[in-house]
Amino acid sequence: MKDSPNEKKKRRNKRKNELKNLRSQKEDEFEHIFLIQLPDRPEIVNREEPVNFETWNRFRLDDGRFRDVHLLKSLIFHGGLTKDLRSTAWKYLLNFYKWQNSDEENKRVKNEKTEEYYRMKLQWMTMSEEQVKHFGDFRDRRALIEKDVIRTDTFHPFFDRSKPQNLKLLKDILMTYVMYNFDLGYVQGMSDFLSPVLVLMENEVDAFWCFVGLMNRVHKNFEMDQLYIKQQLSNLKNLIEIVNPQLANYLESHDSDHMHFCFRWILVAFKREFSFDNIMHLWEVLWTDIPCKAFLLLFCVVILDQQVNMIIENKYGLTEILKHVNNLSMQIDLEETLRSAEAIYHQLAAVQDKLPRHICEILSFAYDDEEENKTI
Amino acid sequence: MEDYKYLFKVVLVGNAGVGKTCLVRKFTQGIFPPGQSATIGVDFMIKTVKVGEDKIKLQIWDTAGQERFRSITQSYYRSAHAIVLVYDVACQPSFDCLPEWLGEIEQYANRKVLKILVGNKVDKEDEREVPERIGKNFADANGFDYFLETSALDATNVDTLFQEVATRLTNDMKLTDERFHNFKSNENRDGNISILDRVLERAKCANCRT
Repeated sequence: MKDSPNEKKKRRNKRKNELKNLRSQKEDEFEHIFLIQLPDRPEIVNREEPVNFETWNRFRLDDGRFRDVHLLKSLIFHGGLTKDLRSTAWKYLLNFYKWQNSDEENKRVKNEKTEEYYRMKLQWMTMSEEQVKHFGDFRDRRALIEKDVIRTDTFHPFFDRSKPQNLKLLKDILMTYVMYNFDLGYVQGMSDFLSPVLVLMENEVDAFWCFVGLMNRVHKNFEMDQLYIKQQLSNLKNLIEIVNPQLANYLESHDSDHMHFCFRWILVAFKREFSFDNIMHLWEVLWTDIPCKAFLLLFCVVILDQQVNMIIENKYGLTEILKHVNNLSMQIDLEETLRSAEAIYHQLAAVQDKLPRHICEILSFAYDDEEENKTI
Repeated sequence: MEDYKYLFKVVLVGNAGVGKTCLVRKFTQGIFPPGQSATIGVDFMIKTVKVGEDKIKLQIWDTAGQERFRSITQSYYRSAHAIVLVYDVACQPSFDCLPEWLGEIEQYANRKVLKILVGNKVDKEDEREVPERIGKNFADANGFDYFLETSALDATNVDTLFQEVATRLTNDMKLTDERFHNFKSNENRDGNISILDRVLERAKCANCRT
């Protein structure tokens, strides 16, 4: 249902005038806020059933290749996966197996990747103590991994101290990843990403290559300069300015608009905020990249939007906001938050031609350059 | 609502895995959590102690240790009354990094901040790599106000550490009347404290439910 260009233009002009009026009345208050009248948020009543083997197989051709991958991903986005399908489907979502490959081709890839994995593993396993002594960067990485392996998800039966072979798997995969990407090395938070993957795969090689796929999605979070994660926090702030200007104003006037209190959410994609089952569900939803790559940020927006009264009515400052947000861990309703995040996406998509350029870029909406001067 | 004379912000920094979170939890909750996961970002806990007749509230901040996260943790140093720099006596590299941490503190903390050096994990006597004397010398040579060795595992000196921090900060505060008045008026203006109490209470209730 595309609007005609004329109608679009009319709407834009109308908005321009509205904004001008607002500006002239309350110049200061709206200085940083693009006040855009959003349509009502659509109500999404239920999430769909998780995708099971039966549905999954309907998308598979006889030789194992997939058709309509986007539709399949869309089903995963709306309902996640059943537990028994997860370890299979994650190999595809994490780009270890390719959707367009036949089973035979994927099998061949797996054989190659298995060999490659053990070759890289041997590289660090065969290092002599003398070599290690003169290889400080390697030693630093190894020391950090050894510190974190014994304290990753220790509540989970898989990582119980009585199962040292599983802790060794966690360590070996992280060490091999250091050889795979030495520049990035090991950064705290990576073991949080690996742990659910390993628990699910129960296989060293599969877990490693799925972890590589996962790190390809999130490695920028871990880079030395931390610019990417700060950009994410800044994008989050920009989205809040549109979705909930009152909250954006409040955060700004309470020295909290750097959004550092959301750092943990973004760094490890909510790993610390949900149970194991729930985090698996959230992650597979995120990995579909539907409806856009920034869905994680919309998910953050929803949670803050839910807390807006609590924050403002109680006059929380920087300190209290941080404590409040940290305390939300294990208290967030996953299904409801996913529904609302999707609803906000549709709400914004409905007015995408009125959104400022930076918002369109965050949400991957097309932005018409010729209309550059539409904003005041 | 709890009454108290002062609120002090104490920030723990130091390399990853030296036991910052365990020190905080041992002191505030009396527990040593084995397998405490690595801290991501920052968090804080509260405990009230007595200095003489006065109730003193300590807001103890715990930070991620890895170098690349410093730009996030830095924003929390600025308003610290005390900084506790922690190393692991059984881990030489954590001691070797102290000069770097000192640089951070000098750059981002208040000039008058109380600086404490702590060698943690003295329960690992067999694995000790940094003798107490070396730690003490470093503290003396680098303008630390106080040095102490601790163990969050067996509670050695944990209460002593925070009690000492509270006592020194309280004494400093009382010495300077003018600063004292400024502090009180700031506190009243923000109303932060009572709000924080409410957040903490709510968290307790939430935990009870689960």
